[in-house]
Amino acid sequence: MIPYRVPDVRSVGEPRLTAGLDRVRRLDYAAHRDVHPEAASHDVETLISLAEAVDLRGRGGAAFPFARKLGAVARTARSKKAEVVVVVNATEGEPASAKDKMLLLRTPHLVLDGAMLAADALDAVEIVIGVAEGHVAEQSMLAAVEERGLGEYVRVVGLPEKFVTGEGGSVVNGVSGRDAVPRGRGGRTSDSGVRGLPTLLSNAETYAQLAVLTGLGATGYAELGAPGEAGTVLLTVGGSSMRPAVVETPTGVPLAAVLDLCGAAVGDGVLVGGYHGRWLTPVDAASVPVSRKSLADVGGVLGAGIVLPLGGESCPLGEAVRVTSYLAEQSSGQCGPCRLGLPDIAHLLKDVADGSGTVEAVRWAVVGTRGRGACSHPDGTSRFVLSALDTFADDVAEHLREGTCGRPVYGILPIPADEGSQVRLLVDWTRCQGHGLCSKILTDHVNLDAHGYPVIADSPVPTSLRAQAQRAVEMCPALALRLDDPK
Amino acid sequence: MVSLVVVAGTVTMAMLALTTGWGAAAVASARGFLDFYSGVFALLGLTGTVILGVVTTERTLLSIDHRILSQRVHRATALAGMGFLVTHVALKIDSGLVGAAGAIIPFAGGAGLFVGLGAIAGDIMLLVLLTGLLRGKFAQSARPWMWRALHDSAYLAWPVSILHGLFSGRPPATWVVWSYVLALVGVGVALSFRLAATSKARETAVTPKVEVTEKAAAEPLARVYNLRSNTETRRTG
Repeated sequence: MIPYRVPDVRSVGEPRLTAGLDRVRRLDYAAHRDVHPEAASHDVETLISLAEAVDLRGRGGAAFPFARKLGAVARTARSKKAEVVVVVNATEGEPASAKDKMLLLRTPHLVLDGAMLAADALDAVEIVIGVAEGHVAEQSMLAAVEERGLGEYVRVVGLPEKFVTGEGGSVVNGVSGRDAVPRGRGGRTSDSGVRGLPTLLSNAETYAQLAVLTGLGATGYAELGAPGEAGTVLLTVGGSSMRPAVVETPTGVPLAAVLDLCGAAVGDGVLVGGYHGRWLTPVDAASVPVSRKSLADVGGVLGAGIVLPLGGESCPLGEAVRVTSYLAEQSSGQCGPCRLGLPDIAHLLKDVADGSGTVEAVRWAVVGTRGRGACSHPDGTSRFVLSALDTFADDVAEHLREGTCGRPVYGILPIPADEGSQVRLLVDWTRCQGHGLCSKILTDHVNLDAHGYPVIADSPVPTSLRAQAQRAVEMCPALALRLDDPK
Repeated sequence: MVSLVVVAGTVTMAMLALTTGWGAAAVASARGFLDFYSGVFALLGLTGTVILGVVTTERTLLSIDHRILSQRVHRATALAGMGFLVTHVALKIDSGLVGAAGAIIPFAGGAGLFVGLGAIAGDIMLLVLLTGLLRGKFAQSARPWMWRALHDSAYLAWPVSILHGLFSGRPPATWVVWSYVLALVGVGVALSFRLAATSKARETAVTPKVEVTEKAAAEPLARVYNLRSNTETRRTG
């Protein structure tokens, strides 16, 4: 299988995970073996000590020490005498992240190598690979599994492409055939995951790093990278970049060099760590090296390696409002404070952008939401909003004063199109009498202005609200509403 | 699940009615009751519907939530009223008081004047029901005002149906006449409320006059676009 279009890959210095990808779009099994010779199988203790020696961390965002995770699974399996499942999380619900999809699409055998190493060491009964449903990466991985004749052992499961699908609990739920939503209780997956078995759950890049690590050995692996954070990381550089790409870089390289490589203007700031991450000021972005510690020192976070420079042309606050609304929509709806609190925060932030709200109101709403959900979605969203308010303080002040900063919102921060929904709710203003029924029927999409006339969200009607929108059209006393479908 | 229960219940009741003596008696008395009252219920239900329909746009007394509720109840009573109307017509055809044609086509099959009026009213109500069900389609169309024109024909059906009710069947009891009067008054009051409200809305809809004085323009509009020095990268042309 040769995919038609693939994410661009670039590297700072010698590539490891992305070796060989400068020549071909996808490494099939033969080509993969040319670049990465087959590794000897290791027992658990060796793998743990290898991972410990280079302090390999999970690459999904939480940066949990991989050695400890591996050790916990092995211990539980021994004490319970239970079978083990290895799960590769490649769902990548973050719309701004492309590294895991890139790995599955372009070098799937490296991820498989890593998963096989872990599965061999743990004597696992099954490998499950969670991927975004319907994405080309799914076909690429299926083809790779077929190529190696692993169809009996490796299961590729497509999960719905939503933001909270990337949460570990969601993946376990999803591959077990339940709704892919975060778990309310159930403890750690290393104790009880898929089918209640001890489960090694980690991100796709982590397994690829594990494969590279066993190939190079601890000393070879630590030849690159900053002290304490050996090796390379995959960064997804997007935003204002002229040449967006997945960049493999040793840790310790200046972020500015990576941004230069992708032709990106920093402008008002750089979002690191994705939509649960934080903003870097232009000053910090110019000097900070790429590593967990250095980024944390300037108030940033490496997370899953998402780097989104904003550039100077788009309105920063407007971009933040767009993302916050998207995040609010992505709540799985299980926990009340998240389901109700996040839309509140989004509305209040929009009020700030319009110059009618206050920063204090947003902060209060954040306080009421933070830490009150089963997963990190409310916390991460709160972090994003607070960081935007701090980093763009000048822009916020200007918005509060003038109601605008004079810049349009270009949509520099990517948001997936809502399942193809292009349907918009339109008002025939000559007919509208300001009855206001639409604002009560379609609360999430319509507000009333000071005169009692509807203010309709400047976005297509989400699929989840279609039935309500239809009802609003039918119930408008003045027959002033209609749904417009461009198709 | 629900449909299963309904089907099972219906079958059981049909079996009881067909096989047992008391079942047959129960069916006969139910039928007699509906024969006697379903026309009256239809009129009451549809009168309520008209009042609710008028009231749904009443803004001075009712909040938005109340208006949404009244619109829902308007739909519910309309469906109930039309259900009774269909029952009424079917039973009258079955008892041979009017032919199938005469029940739908006014004055066909030698039905009398007042029965014919009933057919006219029924036809119009059917049209009104259809427009109500297709409201969304009208809103979506290029001529949404068509809906109001068609739906308002309910006001035409209504006096016609009252004449039908008073003179086509048995001589009405005093309380029935009184309830007709009450229905007339109810709709009359509701309608005048609505007309008063809409005419008031037109009065206030005059474009407000803005006094422009010489002193007004203090701040230049260009302030909205004021540029800051730290954003040279921004395209300003």
